[in-house]
Amino acid sequence: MTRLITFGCSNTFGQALPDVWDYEKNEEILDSGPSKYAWPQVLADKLNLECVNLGLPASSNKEVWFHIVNTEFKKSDIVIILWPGRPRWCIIKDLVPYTGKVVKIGPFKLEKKHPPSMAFFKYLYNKQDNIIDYIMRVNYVSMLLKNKVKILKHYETETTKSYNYPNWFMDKFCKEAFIIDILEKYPKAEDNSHSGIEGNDAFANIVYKELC
Amino acid sequence: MTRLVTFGCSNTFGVALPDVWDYKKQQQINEHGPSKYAWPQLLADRLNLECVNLGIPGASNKEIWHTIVNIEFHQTDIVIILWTWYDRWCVLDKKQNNYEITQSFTTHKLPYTTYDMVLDFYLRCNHIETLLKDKVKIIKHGTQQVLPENPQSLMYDSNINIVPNWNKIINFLNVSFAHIRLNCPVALDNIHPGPEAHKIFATAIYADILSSIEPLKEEDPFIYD
Repeated sequence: MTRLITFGCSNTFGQALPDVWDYEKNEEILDSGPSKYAWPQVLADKLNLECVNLGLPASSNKEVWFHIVNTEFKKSDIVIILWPGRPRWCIIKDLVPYTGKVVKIGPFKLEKKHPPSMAFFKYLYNKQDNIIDYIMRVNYVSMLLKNKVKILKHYETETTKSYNYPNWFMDKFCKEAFIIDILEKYPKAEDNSHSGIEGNDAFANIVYKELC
Repeated sequence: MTRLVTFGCSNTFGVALPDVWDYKKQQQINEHGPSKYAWPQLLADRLNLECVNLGIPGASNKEIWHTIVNIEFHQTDIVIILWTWYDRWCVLDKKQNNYEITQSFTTHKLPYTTYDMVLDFYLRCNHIETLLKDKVKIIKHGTQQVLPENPQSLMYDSNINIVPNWNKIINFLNVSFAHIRLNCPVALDNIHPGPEAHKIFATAIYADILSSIEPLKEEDPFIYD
């Protein structure tokens, strides 16, 4: 069966949607897999495809890239990547193929005084640098998956439209960006931060139109 | 004219070789360009090619990658990249049309794993390989790492020999500068490889790429003038 394989961060996982929310503790459930209300499952249902939602909450572009290069694809796969884009990073720990063991680095960890995140933002983070790293990974994934999957689409969480792409970057992002076109327009999920059911449905519709 | 275009760190630039050394101040001169005693010029002379040595002292693999993606290549170019050690990093800051590059060592700034840096290296060299594959005549990659034949070395780290299964590069140079320099006198700073090491390395690369260059003989006879 043709598979819809999706990669991304919490916006792909469907964080804080009703089926991955613990109403007693008022917190998200991350260990039982992604939400069936998230846009990948909604889209797969519309297309009558098997859904393989590989979204990882709090992931960086680097972690998404690492997840992709360690995934086995089939020629018939439809691959949609919603790149996290944000000022995030990770340190890959494992010597074996992807198991998800990475040190996640991001602003969300600064409150907890997470040393790698503090060092990253103090010494290494630069917006331009982050974008160059981002588009290199996008470009590499495009070249890697060329002729290996049926369809590959890149979506952005935050648009980089205003960035003057270097001439070696031949890829195109689909025009809708998750923050502007979904997160800021539709009601929020249970954590009042991520996108709710309506926004996920809307994003599934956007991708559906792009594919059909 | 066919060009030999080389990329790398100080070992490609030829740091502390006699023509880039201030004997009075006992320090390196970087501002007049790379050394003519460095392996790129020696190799270019041997092949009778124009040498474009784009080695940068202190460069990380990230900076080497960034230099490569910002260079215009000719279809006839022979490109050799001597990638550097994994524990280096840099931050790229775009200032209008120029980049301000801050070099650093990852060990000083951020907890990291060798494996993470090895993956970063493979990502960058695979990206370059795919980008340049049909844009230049020959592309070869070399590394600075100590190869497994010398596992007792303090520089040896077993993680560096892990090759990810998505790596597509098969044309790595089968000669290690790290090994050559261990058996040769050092340069004037007592750190970098001296002229003899560069000479041996250039000869070894010449032998390594000879099979790749041989088909050029008919198309580009001037190479063997």
